[in-house]
Amino acid sequence: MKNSNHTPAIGLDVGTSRIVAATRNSDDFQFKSQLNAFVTVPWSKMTEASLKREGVPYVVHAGSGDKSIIVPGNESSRFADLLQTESRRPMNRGVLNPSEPENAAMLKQLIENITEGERRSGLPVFYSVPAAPLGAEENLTYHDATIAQILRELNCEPTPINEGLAVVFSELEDTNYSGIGISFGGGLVNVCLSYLAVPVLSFSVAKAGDYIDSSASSITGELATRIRMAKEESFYINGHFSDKLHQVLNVYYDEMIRSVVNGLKEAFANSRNIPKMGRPIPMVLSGGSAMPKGFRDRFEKLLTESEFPLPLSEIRMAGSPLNSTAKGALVAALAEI
Amino acid sequence: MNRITPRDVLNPLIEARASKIGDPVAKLRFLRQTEKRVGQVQTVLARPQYWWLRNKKFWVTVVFLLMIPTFSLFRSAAPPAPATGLSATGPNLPGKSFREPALEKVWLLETKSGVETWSNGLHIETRLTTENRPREYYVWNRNNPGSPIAQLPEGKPAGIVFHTTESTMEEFEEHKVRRLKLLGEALLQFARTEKAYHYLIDRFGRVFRIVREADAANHAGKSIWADSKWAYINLNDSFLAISFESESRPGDEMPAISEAQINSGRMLSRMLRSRYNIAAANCVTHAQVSINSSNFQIGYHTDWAGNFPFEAMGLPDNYSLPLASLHLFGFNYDGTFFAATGARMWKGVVSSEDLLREQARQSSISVAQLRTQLRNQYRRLSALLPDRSSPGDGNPDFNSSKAREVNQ
Repeated sequence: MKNSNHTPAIGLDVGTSRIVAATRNSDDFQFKSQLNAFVTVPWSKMTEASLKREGVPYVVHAGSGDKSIIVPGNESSRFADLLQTESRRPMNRGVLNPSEPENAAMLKQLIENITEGERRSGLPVFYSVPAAPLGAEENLTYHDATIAQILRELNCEPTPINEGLAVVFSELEDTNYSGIGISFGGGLVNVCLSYLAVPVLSFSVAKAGDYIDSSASSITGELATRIRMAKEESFYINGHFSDKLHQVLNVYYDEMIRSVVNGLKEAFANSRNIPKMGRPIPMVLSGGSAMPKGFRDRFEKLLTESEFPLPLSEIRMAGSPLNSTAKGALVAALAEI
Repeated sequence: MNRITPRDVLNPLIEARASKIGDPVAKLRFLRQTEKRVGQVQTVLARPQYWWLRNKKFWVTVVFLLMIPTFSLFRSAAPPAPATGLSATGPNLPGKSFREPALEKVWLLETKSGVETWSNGLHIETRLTTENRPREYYVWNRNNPGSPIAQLPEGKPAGIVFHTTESTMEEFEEHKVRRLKLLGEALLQFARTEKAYHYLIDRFGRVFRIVREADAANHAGKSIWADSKWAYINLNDSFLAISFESESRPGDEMPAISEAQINSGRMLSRMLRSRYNIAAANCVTHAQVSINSSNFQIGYHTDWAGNFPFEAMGLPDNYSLPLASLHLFGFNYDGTFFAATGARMWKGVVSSEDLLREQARQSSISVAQLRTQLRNQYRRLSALLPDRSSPGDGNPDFNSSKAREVNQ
């Protein structure tokens, strides 16, 4: 007999810095999130015992060389800070990290962990994929195919969905899924203009959260991992700087926003297939890099100054910026069932 | 040159309808399916033989005609019908505010000078009554899918299909009475020759019996309907036909019939329902039942596609009922159907699609797989039916030919 409490599908946001899974049991959406990162430490009995004692999930990896312990997901950040090392990342700039030999294996491990308890054979899983970077024809096929393969190995039915479009599906129901969705992620900023749920124009910009972290890291000498933690915990964009780190972060945030605004202006001015909308459309901002206080106001100011060609009814933050891509992917999956 | 495309025409309608859907998932599902269908229309229109449809003047006219119902849609506050669950007992009647009154008995008072007078005030002119082949029809028990088709012992009419004559319309003015009468008489003669309907109600509200009630009429052609127990395929025999001297208007516009026609339609429906104990749910419009079996699309004819005054006829809003063609036999619809039909009609379409998805979910197969199975079921049952070709079945321009004849 079928269990009616099982989620009918999963929406998966496979982001550079986080993986978020959205499920729906009864009428409520539920989210699980893991950092898309891991830390490797040499194996020792004492290390393994202390991880066990602390209840930290880990994997003992016995490859061709010495044994090592892999700490994936959320705990990796704390361990990286503790061990004064950079966490390793399965993805970079929105796609599989080519310089990480364990990229697919770790991604599979993380997806497996995050979908534990919900997976079943043939379950539809809509997973987010980035759009091609503006002005480039980057080949995303390998990244897309690898995630699809991982999900098939986990007995799921994978379908890709553009990340910006997922934001639209999550946030713009009021305007019949017409408007612009922007996801400020770790590796990329993904933009999608949708008209009546049809993606009209989508692209990505490579300057995103990781760009801010690594740039600030090179100026301040702090580890990028620590900068990311500081950015998420106490940073706000208001023009007043309490310390050097905040000053640097402000500079690079401005730089990122300007890149996106220029990209938006260029893409919309040059596109020939933008339909006549008939009325101003909304723009919704989501993603971890859009979380700092004051981000929306700063973005709006710079966008207004740029003389953006499309009339906008509002620029607003997503209800839950970290979960909106996964939620939109799930809504798309449910609509296809 | 700025060319107006089908998308320019359909998008305001699509947007208006999407705005009425409250559930985000249902809204997205509607928009995505619509997108596929509009795409199909665009593909068809790109073919060389449809060059005239890419003409700007044509689309300016269509835009103008379609924008009127769009505005009225925005004003309408009626929510779409809620999705109904798949039920072994068949489609649910809309329970909103309509309470079906007990059918009072209507009896024949007298027949004098070719006019029948009935107890509810109905008058039927019988001078044109003609014969056709005797009614003989087969039904399929929808609750027992493996069952063969069967004949019901009593063989009485199971329902009523409402039509429009699609004939030439003259202005309804006193000084045009001669022309109005001429057109009406020509139409009656044509309907009689074609044995097209059981009843025809002219523009003055006069009711004419054309084909005897005991016989079939060539009114519905390829068509499907179902009640809680039986599915009916090709309704010429199983359903009575009432046609209004009128022409179709887009499904969201006011219908082009007079108060006199509505009154007569109500009395006639009551009489027939009383006489044959016809369920309200089996009183439907031609647009709801018409199909094209060659491409498995519904809406081959689209008369009364959203603006039939069910309530004024003493009937519930049967547009809310799921279309059996969609959820029992896997038929589909395209953007052309979408453009021709009104918001009320879409309640039934949406309910049907919900039923289809639920059925697919319960069977753990995709909707596409289920459709294939249902279409095979239709083919199987159709093959068992006796071949009764009639003008209504085979002539794609049946309605147009009627109109042409009357014009001459």
